Amino acid sequence: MATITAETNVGTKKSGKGANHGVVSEVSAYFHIKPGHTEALRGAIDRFQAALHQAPTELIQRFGLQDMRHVIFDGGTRLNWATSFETDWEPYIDDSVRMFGIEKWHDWFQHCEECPDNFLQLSGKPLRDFIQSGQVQAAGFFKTISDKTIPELRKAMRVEKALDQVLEQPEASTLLQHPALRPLLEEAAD
Amino acid sequence: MTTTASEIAREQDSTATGTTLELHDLQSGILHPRPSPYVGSYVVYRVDAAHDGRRFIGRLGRWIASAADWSADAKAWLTATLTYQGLRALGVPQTSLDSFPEAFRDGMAARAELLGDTGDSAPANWQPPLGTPEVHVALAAIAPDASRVSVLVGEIEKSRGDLPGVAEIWRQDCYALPTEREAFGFKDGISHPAIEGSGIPGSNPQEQPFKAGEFVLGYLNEMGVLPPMPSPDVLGRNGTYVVFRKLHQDVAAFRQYLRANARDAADEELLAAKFVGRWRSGAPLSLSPDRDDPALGADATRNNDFLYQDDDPRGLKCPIGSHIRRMNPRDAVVTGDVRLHRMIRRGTNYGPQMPIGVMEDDGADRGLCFVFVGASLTRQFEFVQTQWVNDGRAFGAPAEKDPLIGAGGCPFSIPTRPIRRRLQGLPRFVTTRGGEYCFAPSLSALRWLSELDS
Repeated sequence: MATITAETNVGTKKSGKGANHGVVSEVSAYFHIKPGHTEALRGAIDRFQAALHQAPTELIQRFGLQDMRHVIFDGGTRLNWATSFETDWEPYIDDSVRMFGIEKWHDWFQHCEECPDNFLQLSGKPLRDFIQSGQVQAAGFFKTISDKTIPELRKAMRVEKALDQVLEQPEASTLLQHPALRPLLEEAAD
Repeated sequence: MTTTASEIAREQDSTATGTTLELHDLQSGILHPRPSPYVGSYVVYRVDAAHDGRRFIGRLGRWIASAADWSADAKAWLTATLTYQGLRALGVPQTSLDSFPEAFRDGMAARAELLGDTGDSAPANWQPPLGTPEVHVALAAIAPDASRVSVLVGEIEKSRGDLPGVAEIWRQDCYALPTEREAFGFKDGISHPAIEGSGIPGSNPQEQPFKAGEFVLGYLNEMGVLPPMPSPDVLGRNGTYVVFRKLHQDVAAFRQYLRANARDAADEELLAAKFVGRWRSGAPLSLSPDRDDPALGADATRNNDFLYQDDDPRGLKCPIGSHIRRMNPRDAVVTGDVRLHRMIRRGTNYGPQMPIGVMEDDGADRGLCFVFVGASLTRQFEFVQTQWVNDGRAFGAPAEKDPLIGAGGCPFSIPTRPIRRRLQGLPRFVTTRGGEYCFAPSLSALRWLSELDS
């Protein structure tokens, strides 16, 4: 039977907001690994990370995902899930479930004591509640390139590639002498 | 009456699925696009006595057609909604009130900062009594002409004659021009999603119909689950949420900005089109990138038949940050799953139109009465407002906002060959004058509310 779920939350006083630096926000959550489940969790994390590594660029962009790590610590009894997004994470929780599939999330969450038994029958809210139950806002968060989104960084990479192509031209140094092109000329030396 | 995509495609009901919507129980104004042209009145009441309020709700039923009985030939159409405070005033039990979502219980004014309603748009500057706990019942009365609206509103007023515990506290007359244009001069109301089981085809044949639960409570949504529903079932089922916003449009500022940043009159029109994503006629830039095409704009079978990703991923035709592309990114690669944030939007003019060619503000209050309809205030309306209108991160442009309705004070990039155009310091063209989160009950729920004291 379909279950009535609760609402996506775009951000209220009760939301589990992470720390921000520029356009990036972080989520760090800590869970207890079920006794005897550590190796199974490692396998599930491998699968989840492999899915991320193999996901099309387009899908990762739709997640707004900058990075994600799973850290098993405390003698294999605890899990730290840490990730950062180009947006706040909470408004997109349903999106991440629908686009990636709740089964993939459940594959590793199921090895945590805090995971509800009926997780697969529920929608994005339990994922949000689950994360918030283990979430601790970072006391400090630093991102090296904090003011640029992935699309902007990809654009910068395309521009660099285009400049490289220009610089390969024999007449490049002559063409770049025009005053309007001085900023490019200044980047041409290395 | 303008031929709509609904009428043209009615024989090809692309929404037929296993979903059976209880159309007889839905208010007709929820799903059906409005006829064109039309005249309307939004009327707000305060319930001072629960018993009178319930009787008033009960009497409204005679003017509310169901979605099954909707007819384009009707004399007039009425939609009734209630706010959280209104449901309280009617005496809805607290356990039922508590089952409504937090956003609805908060009310729009309490979420102003989240929504970007700050500065001039802050609730402190809203037109009273909008944004106050006194807004209880909100009616939308629509008809093909002013005289029929007047008749309907007059009948409702007469029905309230013996109910001193229900007071009219606000009214806004509005209208849709025969040209279907809003105050900035653009044809509005083109895009409409198809909803499974509704019998109402959408305006984009390339857009798969949406699960009914995205727009009506009690049905599976795009997540494959039932959306949260107020209790008891009779109150929640077949109901939906309605957001109402009175939006002042600074037409003079819009015209002045275009004039100051364009090379000539033709470029003004192009710039305006780049802001919106359509030419003033409604012709989409995606299909007609270089010049307006009024025939295309008027053709409901073609003017919304387009996508973005294959043909225009970089926004060279329709800028990535343009208004319609933010409202509905379609298949473009943006952060978020577009299927979860689709909206039914309706807009109606209020105030006098500014004559063409006038550049100085005349002080008139004019703009748009905006309406959203959907099953989730937060995943649909608030998400789009906060993530896609007043934030550019989802589009890879964190510094930018919606150039037409955003909070302003930011740049707007227009991908252009050979060199992109980037406008700076866009003013705020749209200011919120007030609004509220409302619930549109089913016809059964309206009866239930009217019978609460029994």
